[in-house]
Order: sequence, then structure tokens, then C-alpha cells
Amino acid sequence: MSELAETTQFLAGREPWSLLPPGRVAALARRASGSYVRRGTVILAAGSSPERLHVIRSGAVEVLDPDGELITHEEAGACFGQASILEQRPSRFTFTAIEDTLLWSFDADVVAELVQVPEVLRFFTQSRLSDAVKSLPDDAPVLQVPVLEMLTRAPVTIDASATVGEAARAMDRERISAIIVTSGDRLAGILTDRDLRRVVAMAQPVDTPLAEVMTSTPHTIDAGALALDALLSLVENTIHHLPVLDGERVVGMVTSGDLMRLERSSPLYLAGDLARQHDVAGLAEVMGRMPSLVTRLLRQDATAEDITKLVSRTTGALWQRIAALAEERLGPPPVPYCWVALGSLARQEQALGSDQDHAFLVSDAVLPEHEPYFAELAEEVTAALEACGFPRCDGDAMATNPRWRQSVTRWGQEFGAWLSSPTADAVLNSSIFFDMRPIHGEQTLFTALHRRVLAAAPGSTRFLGHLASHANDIEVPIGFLRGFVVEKQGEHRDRLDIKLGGITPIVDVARLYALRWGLPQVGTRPRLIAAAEHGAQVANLLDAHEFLGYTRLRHQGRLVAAGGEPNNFIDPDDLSDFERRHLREAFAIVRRAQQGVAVSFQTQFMS
Amino acid sequence: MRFFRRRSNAALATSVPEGGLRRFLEAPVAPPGTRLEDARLLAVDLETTGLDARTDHILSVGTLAVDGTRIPFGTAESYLVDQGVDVGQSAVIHQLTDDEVRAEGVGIEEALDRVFGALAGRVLLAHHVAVEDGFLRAAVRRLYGVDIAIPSIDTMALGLRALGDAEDLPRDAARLWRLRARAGLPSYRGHDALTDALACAELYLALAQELRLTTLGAAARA
Repeated sequence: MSELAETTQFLAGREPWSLLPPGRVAALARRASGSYVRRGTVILAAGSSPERLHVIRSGAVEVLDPDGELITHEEAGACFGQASILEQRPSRFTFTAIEDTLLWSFDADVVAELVQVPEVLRFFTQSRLSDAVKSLPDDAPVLQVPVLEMLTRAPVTIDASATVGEAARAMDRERISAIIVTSGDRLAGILTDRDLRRVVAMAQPVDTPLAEVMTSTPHTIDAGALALDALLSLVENTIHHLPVLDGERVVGMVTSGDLMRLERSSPLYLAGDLARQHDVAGLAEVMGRMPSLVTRLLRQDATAEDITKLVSRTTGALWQRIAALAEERLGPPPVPYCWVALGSLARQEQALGSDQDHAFLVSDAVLPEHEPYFAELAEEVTAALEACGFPRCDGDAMATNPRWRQSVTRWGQEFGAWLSSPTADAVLNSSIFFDMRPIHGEQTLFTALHRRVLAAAPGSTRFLGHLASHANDIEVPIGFLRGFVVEKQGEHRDRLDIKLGGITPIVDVARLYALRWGLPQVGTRPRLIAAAEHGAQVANLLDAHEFLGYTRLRHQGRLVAAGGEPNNFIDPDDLSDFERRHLREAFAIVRRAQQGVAVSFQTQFMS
Repeated sequence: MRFFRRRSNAALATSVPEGGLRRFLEAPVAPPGTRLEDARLLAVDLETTGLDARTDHILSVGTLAVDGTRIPFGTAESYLVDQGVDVGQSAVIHQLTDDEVRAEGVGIEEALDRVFGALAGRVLLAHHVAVEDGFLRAAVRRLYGVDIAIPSIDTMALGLRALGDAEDLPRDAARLWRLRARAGLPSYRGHDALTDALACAELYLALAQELRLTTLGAAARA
């Protein structure tokens, strides 16, 4: 057998192939076949059943939903077709080559073999978006990239003395939709596909001088400008091409396509828009775009972890803006304080439809006469959050409640009391208060309190025992009828509560681990990963958490798309066989984990 | 061109031993009207000690089938050929050493048996096919004393057709790598026989679409 070095090397350097045991890639590569599709060819149409997994070797593929809305662009190295093969359903999207594209394709049986490797299955059910998110520094807006860095090739130019025909030939040869016209070193104009259409429509001869039909004073952009500026100029002037100038020299061209490739940054548009608002009404309007952002991320097959992280970050940006506006109106705080998020936002796991949980940690320098300021501030920010779609917390766990608006020392005493003499209230509130993250203000106030709690928690054996027992009280909805226990009555009859029965127990178990070992992590996944270093078995739980989170988000996305309000109640009949099977598996994992911590913590701490 | 120049291969079949070459000679030749979706091709690339089929020798062979519009990678084959000659200066290009050829090479009889076995019922596809055609036919002539015909398609000829007859073409415009770049195909590390065969096969798929070729006859006409 002869090894096709080119195929093996290309695949071996990329996921999911790099996740396979060494040596398997070469054998797999021999089971692929190569094909070439011209620009404009539909490779896989929505509604049709894919028979192959395609790897883009070169070229580019556009992914559209059935309404023709652009989902994403895929480039060299990307795979598609596998999701529908795995779930045995027609493709949800249409995949069209937007450049001449070389594909390497595998039959469905290869997909079935590949997913026997758990890491590969995980890769296929995750997305490349996670890489995109990871490669960005926190909150770095992609549109802040200088235009110069977006240029991928030298400008294609033609002299102003040429004819239209010559220009058209050059554009065809270079496969470009616009060409820069120069006179000497200077920019003289630009000729686009649109201009050529006009030439054809008016039946002008091909030897018409270029200068007669080009746009002679095109919009341009400076090489030092930002991608955002380019985007604004394209949108404002309804054009698609911008010659890039360094002084008077043309150094390249930015197109709307280039900017579309940065489209993953769309969550960052949202955060950027928030920062530009000057009143609550404006903020509420921007936040109204959040559900459609989530549905778009879901269509892009982003992971639940990524989506909830993006939702949480965007919500964090909203809080910061709200606090800044409130402080603008009320004046600066008399002593430092920190506005902390509690619960799911603190864990960076916020889905749609959550309420608000938060507290103020105020400097110990606070005096009684400062109290009205913080009370008013709390009311102001809470009302603003409510206006932006976050209902007030039923349990009153908000800074408007004087109990949740205390000095750091008082907070420390409060936590100490919970840990040493646990009450039912403390156990119930633990889900909120032990998941805390600073959002706005003086972060060191939070750090001091957090450190103190983490130091005290591992020794609080009775509290941990109660927590473990509480975690075990939640019933996981596995049953005999169709495999699930569903709500017996009320609005959500015959549906299962995926949050209460699946996600919450995992969050509880992760928190228990964090307190048990004094782990500083706040997010569920980071906590589980850190707990693994102390010997906890977490691999299955991580998978279950992702799967349940994803299923919940998709459910919420569907509700929102249908004009409804997001909730956590899923009708098992709405799931595919694939989803039902995995959901039962995920619940079983949750059940085992609950029993596991109940046994180990109770025997360890309560007997 | 060679496609239509039918000499009776079948009549020569008994002049060669049983095996791949005989199977090739006996296999019916696909008619020129065969649709390209149904055409069976074999991309072949030879690394040789030089360019003259009369005096130079084959050093390595890479072959890969093209079935209609698909290239099944599982058909990829490559082997070194040991003819007891030195690699000489050609080593600079393909980086094959005498030691490698001696250690792993197969004899020329076996090499021809394998190439023609794979080529039986298929059309030879190569970039500048005169080299592959010339070396293979010369080797057969030397070994068995017969002059065979090999139906073929040349991606270089197709490439020139696609470039048109502009006079100001750069001298290397019809090189495999230039034509690939023009078709938006990725660049590969050159001068490994199998990689070159793959590169040629992919270029063929691209050019067949660009030139809107529909039949074997149209593809073979140069």
C-alpha cells in the first residue's frame, strides 16, 4: 500500500483527524475520494440526505439556512455533512461552493467508525467557534483589527489607458469582482462587476476606454483605519469594495466578503452597541437582539458552553453600562463597592430567560449616612435590568434587599454563620451565594471575601454533608414510560424540566467539589476540571453538562424563533431518536453522580 | 491525438507474457463518445533519470485512478524501479538516492506489470503525457519487442486550451503548478511521483469543468 503523503499530512494536522490514534489517518485517507466543484455549485442542498462527509481541501463554501440567510463561511480544513449523517436526518443547510473548491469526501461508514473515538464524536458535536473564541483575548473586538491586517494579497491593478475588455479579462483571470484602476502610481478609479453589467446592458463595445466606464472617484480607506471603519463605510455608501490607501499608494482592497468573514464577531457588535447607549431604553433595545444572536450561534453549531459564555459576557457588558449610567446620574459612590453577579451569570452559564441575582459588597469604610446612596443605586440598577428583560428575583436575592447590600466584613460573618451552622435557608441559598463574580466596581472587595470563604469551606463538614444530601434530593427525570418522567399537570404537562432535573444537579455537584477542596473556580466546567485533579471522576459529567446545556439552548432557540418566551420544559416528542437516546444517557450520568456524592460526602462528613 | 491512432493492441497481446501488460492489451478501448462521468482514467507520473525515453530510465512510478468525476484515493500506488542504473544528476530533482532505489526498487518487468495492470481498461492521464507515454512504450519495446499504443489525455494540452492562444503567456504558464494555482488548487510538494499523479488528477477534474468537456474524445483532442 502506498501512502498518499499529501492527504495524510493535511488531515493529520487538523481536527478531528488529529484526535485519532497515530497511524490511523493514513489508512483513513485512502478511503477518501477527491472531487472538484466550480464556484456556484450546490454541494449539499437543505432537505437532502448527505451520503458523504466532506473535507474542504481548498476553496470556500457558503452555508445558508433554508430561508437563504447566511449562516457561515467554511474554509480549507472544515468538515461538513457529518452532523446529518450522525443524526440520520436531512441536511438543515445548503452548502454552496463560493470559490472553486477541492473536496475530499468520505462515505457514511467512515463517519460511523470515526465517532467510535469519543474525542471525535465530541469534535463533531462541537464547533470551530470554540477555537475562534479561545483565540481571542477576552472581549477583544474583532472589528478593531486594522484594515492593513485584513489584506491577503497585493492589489490587482490596471492602467487607466486600458479598455473595458482588457479589464474584464484581467478580472476573470484573477477571479476578482473589482479591479483598481491606476494612472502612474496614483489611484484613478475602480471598475466593479456592477460597472461591467452596465457596460453589457448598454451594449458598449469592449474597446471602450476604461476611463469612460469606471467609477473615477471611489470611496477609499486608509491602511491604518479599523475594520469597523471599513464596515461602516461599506454600509453607509452601499458599496462592496474599498481600495486601501497608504498615503497616495494603493496597497490593497477590502471587500464586504472580507468583513463577512469576521462575522463571528457578531456577539461583539452587541457588546459594542451596548457601550454606545446613553439610556436604559437604548440598552433594552440592544438586548432585544440577544435571542436572535443565540439562535444564530445555535445554527452555527456553537457549543452550549460557548453560547452561554457569550450571553454571560454580553450581559456583563450590559451591567457595566447600567452601573456607569447610574453613577453618572447619582454621582460617584461615597466609598468603594463591588457589584457582584450571583448564580448562573456568575458561573458564566446564563441561558435565555433568566432572572437577576446580585449583591453589593461595600467597603468597610462605609458610614450609615452612605446607606441611602447605595439603596438608590441598587434600585436604579435593578429597575434598569428589569427594563432590559431580566425579571426581579423571586427570592429577593438582589442588592435592593438590604441583606444583600453589606460591608465586606459583614458578608464574611454571614458566610461564616452559614458554614458553621447550616440552616435550610443557607443550603438553598448556597446555589446563589457560593457562585459569585465581580461585574462592576472595586474588584478587590470581592477577592478578599472569596478568599475567606474558600479557606473556610473545606472544613465545614456538616454544611457540605447537607449540601450533598440536598443535591441528591433533586429527582432526575428518568422513568419507564418513553424513558422520561414528565410534568404531571399544569402549563408544562407532559414535558420534562431539563434545567431542574439535569443541569442544576450537575451545577450542584460541581459546587460541592469546589467547596470541598476550596477551588477558586466559579464556572461548572472549570470546577469539574479542577476537581478531577483531586480525583473526582468528571469526564462523563462534562459531556452530560454540554449535551443538556445544548439541548436546552436549542429548545429555547426554537421557542424564540416561534415567537414564544424561552423556558426549560422540553416535550420528549419534539426530540429525534438520537437526542432522546443521548438525553436518557445524560440523565443516567447525572443520577450516578448524585448518588456518588451523596454516599461519599455523607459517610465522610455526617457519620 | 494518440487516442484515435489505433494500432491493434489486441493483436500484440500474445507477444507479451501473461499478466498486467497482457490484460491491458486485451482490454477494449473506451470509445471516444464515452461520457466523462463514466470514463475510467489512470493518472500516472514517472520520475526518470532524464527526459530521453531512448537512453534514460524510469526510477519511480505513482498511479491513481480517476473514476468519472472522482478520485478514489484508495487506488493510489507507488513504487521505485531498480534497473541497475545510477540515479545520477536527476537525484537533485526527485531526491531519490541510489541506495533507496536498490533497497526498495522492483524490476522493470514487475513495474510494467503493475502499471499496465492498473491501466487495463483505463485511459492514461498525465501532465505532458509524451513523457509517460514515451517511457512506457519504450520500456515495452525494449523488453518484448512490440510497439503498443496507449490511449491518453494530457492535462498540459488541456491547460493550453484553457489559457487560449494569447501570445504573451509566460513560458511556464502550462506547468502543472501554474495551472493548478490558476484553478485555485492547493500547492503540493512537487516531484514525488504519487503526489504529482494526484496533482495531475485534480487538475484534470478542474480543467474538464472549466472547458465544459463532456466526452473522452473531447478531452483527448489536443
